[in-house]
Amino acid sequence: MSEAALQVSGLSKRYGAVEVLRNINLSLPPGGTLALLGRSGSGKSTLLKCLNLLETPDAGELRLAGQRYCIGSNILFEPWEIRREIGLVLQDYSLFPNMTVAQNLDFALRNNNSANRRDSLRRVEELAFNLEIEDLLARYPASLSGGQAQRCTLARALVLRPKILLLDEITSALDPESIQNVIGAIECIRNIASNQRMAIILVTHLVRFAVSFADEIAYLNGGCIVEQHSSTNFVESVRHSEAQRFVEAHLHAPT
Amino acid sequence: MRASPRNDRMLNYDWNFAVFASYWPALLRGAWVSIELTLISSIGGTALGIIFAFPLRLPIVGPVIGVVNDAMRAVPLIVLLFLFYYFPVGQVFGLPPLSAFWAAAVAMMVAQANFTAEIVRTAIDAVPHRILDSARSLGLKERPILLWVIAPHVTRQALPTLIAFYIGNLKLSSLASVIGTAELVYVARIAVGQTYRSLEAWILIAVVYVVLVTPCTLFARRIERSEWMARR
Repeated sequence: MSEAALQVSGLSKRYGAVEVLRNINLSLPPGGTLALLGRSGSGKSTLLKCLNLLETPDAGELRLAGQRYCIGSNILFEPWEIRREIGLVLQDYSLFPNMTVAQNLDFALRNNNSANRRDSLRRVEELAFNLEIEDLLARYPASLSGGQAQRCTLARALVLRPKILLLDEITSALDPESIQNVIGAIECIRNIASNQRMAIILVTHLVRFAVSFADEIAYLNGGCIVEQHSSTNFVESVRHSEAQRFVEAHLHAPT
Repeated sequence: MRASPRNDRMLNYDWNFAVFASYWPALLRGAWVSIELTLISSIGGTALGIIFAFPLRLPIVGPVIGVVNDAMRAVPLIVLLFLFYYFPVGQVFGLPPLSAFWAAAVAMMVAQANFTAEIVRTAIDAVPHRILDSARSLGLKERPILLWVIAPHVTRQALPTLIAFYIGNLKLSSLASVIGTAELVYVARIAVGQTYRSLEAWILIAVVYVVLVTPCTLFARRIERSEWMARR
């Protein structure tokens, strides 16, 4: 049996009295793609933040390529060591505003002692070429459109060649045209991902995009995964009433 | 034909600025003392304030420093000046007493530090969470995040307010005359005592302040409107 890129068993997280995540179990093969659907407040973002340890889980076990990195609320490595392997892109514009796009892309490499200077510059150029942001490299984030900024943010997350890439509603703050633009970039990333055997978890409201992009789709309700199916028959297989309503509502939405 | 009575009186005032010709060296020295007080209190106070801004965000220690800071900010500068001037440095620390100049410099520095700590703390709190989360998600350690992400944001956030305070310090330094620091206003008071030309003396001093402050205001405006400032 080949080892899962990411293995989540019994993950739970609470904020005070509120249980945000309850007994989450997930397994993601290398190069696999999973889309997470669910209403706002269902725990999708918290799940992603637990996976890269921006939030500390309360219970459960997390494994990266078979290596256990978190049991219960005990983190077994330095958080930054894990986060280098698990990239996260957030929904808002999160480029560093005081740096040019090129400096943004280069930032993580520059502050990573093991990186070779020439290699890291090559890496930035290569990503800029793939994501078609070469002409944006010298610009500051404030001068970018939403779609351009998100493509640059995606490129930045790929610079360290993470094993897992988490994308948190990265199209939510955008207009329809920019959404197409960013979706194009994500599809391009899938090619990079399959070359690097990088697994992707994508949180989105765009059901049709999820179906076309991901291998598997899971539906989160009240902090639990209530449905998980292969994307080819997800829409037909949904039984949970909340999930059915969500899919109905979002399947025919524009974009 | 007679001029209007009001005009008449103005014209009848016997203006005499010539008496101050011999005061130029004293005025220049006074101006330099004002500038020195401003520089020392602004730079020293900012450094001190930044150092205190970090513990201000800690649990337990933070609120304690916060209360002391709030209390000290409630004390008017003129009171601080007297407190530092009359503080028995010799008896308490066994040090030589503070000169009028250093009492003023320290009082103004403390006042600046109080405000800087508060300004910087607010600016640190204003760094967007998504920016910090993104930086951490790139596997960065806390030090480079502090240095290259938080500090540039805080600088841009706090600088306009701080510069306003620095310009304020130049004007507030005039209060140091009450403890006998020989800055601009002190020189003016001596000149008034010797020449009995109060109005002219104060006009002269007002002009000197305008000449000193205006370039600073223009410079502050340029920084505030610069492209560099917009990168936050």
